[in-house]
Amino acid sequence: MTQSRTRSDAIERTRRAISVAGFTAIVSCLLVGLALAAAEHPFAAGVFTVAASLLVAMPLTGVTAVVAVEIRRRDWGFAAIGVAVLLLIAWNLRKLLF
Amino acid sequence: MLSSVVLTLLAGIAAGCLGALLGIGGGVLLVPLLNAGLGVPFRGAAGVSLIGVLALSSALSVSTAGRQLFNPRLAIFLLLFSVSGASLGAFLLERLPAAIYPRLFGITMAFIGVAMLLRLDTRNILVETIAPAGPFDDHFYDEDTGLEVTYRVRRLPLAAAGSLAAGMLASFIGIGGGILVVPALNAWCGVPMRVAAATSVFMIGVTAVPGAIAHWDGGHLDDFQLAATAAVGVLAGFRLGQSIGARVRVRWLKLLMAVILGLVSLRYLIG
Repeated sequence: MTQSRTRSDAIERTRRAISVAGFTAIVSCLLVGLALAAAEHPFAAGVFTVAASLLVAMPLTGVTAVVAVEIRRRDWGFAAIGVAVLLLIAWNLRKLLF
Repeated sequence: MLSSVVLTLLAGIAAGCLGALLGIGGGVLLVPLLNAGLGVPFRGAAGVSLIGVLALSSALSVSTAGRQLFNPRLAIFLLLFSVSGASLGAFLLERLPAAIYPRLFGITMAFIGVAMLLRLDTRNILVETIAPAGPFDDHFYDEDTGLEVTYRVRRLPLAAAGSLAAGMLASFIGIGGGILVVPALNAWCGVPMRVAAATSVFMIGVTAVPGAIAHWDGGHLDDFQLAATAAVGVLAGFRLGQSIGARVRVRWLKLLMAVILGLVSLRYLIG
């Protein structure tokens, strides 16, 4: 039980570290993009695209973390539901990727 | 140009503040402010709103506030339905007449507003010390009563149906879905308001993804400068909402939500 809790805590710490890094990158891209757009710089569109891509990717870290916790608990039902959610998102992402 | 940037920023701040206070994406405020206030086409406003929802979701994922209230199993179960609904909505977005979306927005706001007003004083908590029985039941420390309380999740099919509808609406009208999921969980399924809000916060970002992709792919997000301005405003508003959130009680949160929903629905159904 304690070992399971420790592993869950480690997953939560990893999720939070990724979220902090992603959030920092998003805010930076949004502010830099707005500054470049104000200066009518051609790189603005590219920076905005990076920001939008990160915004779309960020919510998936939370789902991945829940799936990881459920796999650690060997609760395969909830883990399978989480994987199904991720697959649905991947199906939607195909429009942008291909 | 400058005035529209300032107004978009202010709209984002208002939406972000509301999102932090109520655990919703803020699209309920951002869509009408952009559409009716700034003249942005409805689907454009919906696309920008979804970017705002995603920005709010990313800010909330960093925050530790409400993390102990979040019910991960309930969230992941309902996400299966909300993301399915959002994917279906994204598929239908370009296939339905554009004129139906503003009406749908007005009807949705009116429905939720009435539901919130009818449940102003419902608490949905069991103060007795009992163990959670079902896979979705949980317990938490309730700041309003100062007690450790347990809640039982009831009528799960209703929550699933509400999440499916919330997902479709997220893609259609640019709301995160929290505006539907929070009252559904609170009013129908026995989930306390703060738990419903914390669980919804986890869901709104994921639910917004299919719609945001569809609006991006459909060309409704061509003015990404507008979306970025709104997103920055949402993040600033979120910080503001967090700083005043602890001083606001659940009853007032619900009342504020109902008043805003009533005004917005009047604008889209009558105005």
